[in-house]
Amino acid sequence: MIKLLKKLVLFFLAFVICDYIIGLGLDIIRNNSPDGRYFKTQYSLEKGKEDIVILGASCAESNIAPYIIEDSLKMTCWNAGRGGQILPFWTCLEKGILNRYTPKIVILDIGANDLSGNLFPTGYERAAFLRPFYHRHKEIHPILNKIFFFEKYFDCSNLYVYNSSYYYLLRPYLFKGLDGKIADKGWKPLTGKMPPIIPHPIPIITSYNLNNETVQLFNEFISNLTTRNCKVFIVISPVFNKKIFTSPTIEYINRLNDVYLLNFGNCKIFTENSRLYRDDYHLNIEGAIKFTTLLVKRIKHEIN
Amino acid sequence: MVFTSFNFLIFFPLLVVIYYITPVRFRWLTLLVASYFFYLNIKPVFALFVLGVTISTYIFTRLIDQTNVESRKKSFMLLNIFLILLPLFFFKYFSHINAGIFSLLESIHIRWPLPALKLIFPIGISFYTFVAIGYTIDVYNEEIKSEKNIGILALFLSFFPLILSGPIERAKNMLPQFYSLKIIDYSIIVEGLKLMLWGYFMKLVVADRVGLYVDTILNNVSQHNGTTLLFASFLYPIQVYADLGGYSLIAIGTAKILGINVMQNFKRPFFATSMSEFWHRWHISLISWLTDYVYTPLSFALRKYGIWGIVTALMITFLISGVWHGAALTFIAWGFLQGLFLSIEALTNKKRAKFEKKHNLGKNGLYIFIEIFFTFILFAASQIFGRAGNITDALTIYKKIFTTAGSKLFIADVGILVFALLGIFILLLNDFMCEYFPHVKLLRNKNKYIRFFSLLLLLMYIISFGVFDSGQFIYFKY
Repeated sequence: MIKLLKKLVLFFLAFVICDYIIGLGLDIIRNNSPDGRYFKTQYSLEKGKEDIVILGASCAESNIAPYIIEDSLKMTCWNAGRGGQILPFWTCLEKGILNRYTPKIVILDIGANDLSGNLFPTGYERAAFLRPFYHRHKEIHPILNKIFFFEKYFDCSNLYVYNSSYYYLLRPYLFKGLDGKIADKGWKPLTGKMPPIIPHPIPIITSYNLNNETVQLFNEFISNLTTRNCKVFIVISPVFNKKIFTSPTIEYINRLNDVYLLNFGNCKIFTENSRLYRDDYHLNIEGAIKFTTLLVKRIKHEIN
Repeated sequence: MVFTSFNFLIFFPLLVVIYYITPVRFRWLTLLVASYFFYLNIKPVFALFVLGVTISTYIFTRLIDQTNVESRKKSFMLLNIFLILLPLFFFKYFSHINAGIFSLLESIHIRWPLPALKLIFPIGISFYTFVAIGYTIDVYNEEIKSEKNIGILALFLSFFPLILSGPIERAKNMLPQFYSLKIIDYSIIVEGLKLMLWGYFMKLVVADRVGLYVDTILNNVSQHNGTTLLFASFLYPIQVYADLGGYSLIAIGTAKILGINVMQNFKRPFFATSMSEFWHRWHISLISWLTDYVYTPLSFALRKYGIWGIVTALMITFLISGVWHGAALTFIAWGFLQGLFLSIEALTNKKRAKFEKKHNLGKNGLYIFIEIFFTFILFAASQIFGRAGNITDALTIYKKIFTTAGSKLFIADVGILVFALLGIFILLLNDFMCEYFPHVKLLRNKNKYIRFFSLLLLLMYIISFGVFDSGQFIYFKY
């Protein structure tokens, strides 16, 4: 038994040392990433000081072009959108940003039913993308620790926090710009067009109940910004061939006092024009430019 | 609680400590309590079924032992088998039979909907029911004496490493071990830990990673082309191997640490050169169970029909195996295909052997490779039925493979696929080395430093590339 315990302790120590050394190496790779998703997240959390920050999922990432907003509003802008992510991830980024400074405007692109969705387990699990930043950012701990009960203990391991990240961690060193160019300031323009389709937009009527936990986190997200006098614009992106007039999420946001809701879900320019889309949910470059131009006009109108 | 849950990582070391400080004569009791605790943790009501099977099996096997009248012995055996099969049939087949009767009545314009029950399938019921049936038949055949201590029998049927997905063990191997639980042995514990670690590699790094890709494709058959479906159909057997093979290794390793030897369940199946050899390497415990309790008695009863008696026994055995996996038509088709492949092999066995001898192909590397590849293709083709949700989906997969193959492969997330393929490569490389170069060992190398660093590397690899938030083991549904 003593022999076994000795070996186990030795094995554990060897693991801790290897874990620490490899972790240092991985931190260096992450910190020097020339572009890509880890570069973008690190910039959002640690470096960016733009006046306007765009948050959201893939629609935010590919539909909103910061340079158009910058030209129009004469303010700096950074697109921190990340495909596949929802509220827990946005909250983490928000906390990281607010720890350093308060942007003048935050544009949040959300889905018309986002406040009806469950955050457990998928929402929190997706935020696990931020694990490589766990050690450096205490502010994201409350969110990441909700992934599962032992999360905080497992995150002590550097190898664990980098679990499954190697491909996207190393890819920018080999292929630049696959997740968007640095010059595009976080925007990930999509090329390609949908095949021409004669549109027959279907009005989408949803009756999903709001999810209390999601609403609670959303309220926290909004109040963190509004209490710091940051203007919050909530954008509903257009979907091809679908008209979204309202939903419990939209109605809820409409009732909030301190935020501006810009619903493009029923905007004919987009919902009936397949040429502007890469797929049903994402605009292509042409669509994104058109969309951002229209968006910034509405923002200008609201802030003046 | 399952092996990949973090609760298990707390439960098991604690159990090992308690187990080894318990006096030897009470260790079986510790294991029994731990086994029920483990099973109750999944869903308390499930424990009632295993308890019911235990009580029924205990009573009837004792009666079999105490009776000298052959007809009564047989009645007790059949009655117990009938009783313990009832819950299995109910949970596994009720909804299918219900739907079948409903559609039959509807076809003659009678609408009489039977009560639809939303049944939660008790995990492991197929496994412990088979274990109990095997034990009952063994007692009836007087291969073993019935167990007098109901606690030991309860432990045998509920032993936590095996209860959820096997291996399907035999009483003559397990019961004596529960009476002679060994004193702690360093080398046995280390060996158990190594088996567990490799099992976790298979499950977390290979099965769950491959599953992320395969599930995306095979759950949406209509949306993918032939190339993608072909690729996913090739990956699926590897996923099942890594999943059940990984589970089995964790189970065997866990039992080993507790001083109990459990039979091997997989033996490098993808290096089999024929389907009959494949079934000696794949899910060995189930197949040996079916061989002993179904195939052998059947082929004996049908011996006067010669080779056709064997073919009939093979077909029936694999149809039963298909039905054991599920009541759906897809599983029956799966079993039928296995039986068909094996029957063709049995019928052509002599001619093939003659051909191989004539051309001296027995040790021809290329010929062996072609045999291995062909065996894999046959199994993968049959597994399309095993995986598809229904016959229509399975036929769609076949149709698309033959009509739209050559179109662009759907990759989804490159990262997931790259890691999956890397895991498969390591797994198959290890199997290849064990098969053809058994003297080259890493985890069991004679050099302690190589051993140490191999284990360390394996652990680091699992932590770096494992999928820790996936679902359950594939075989929990059977």
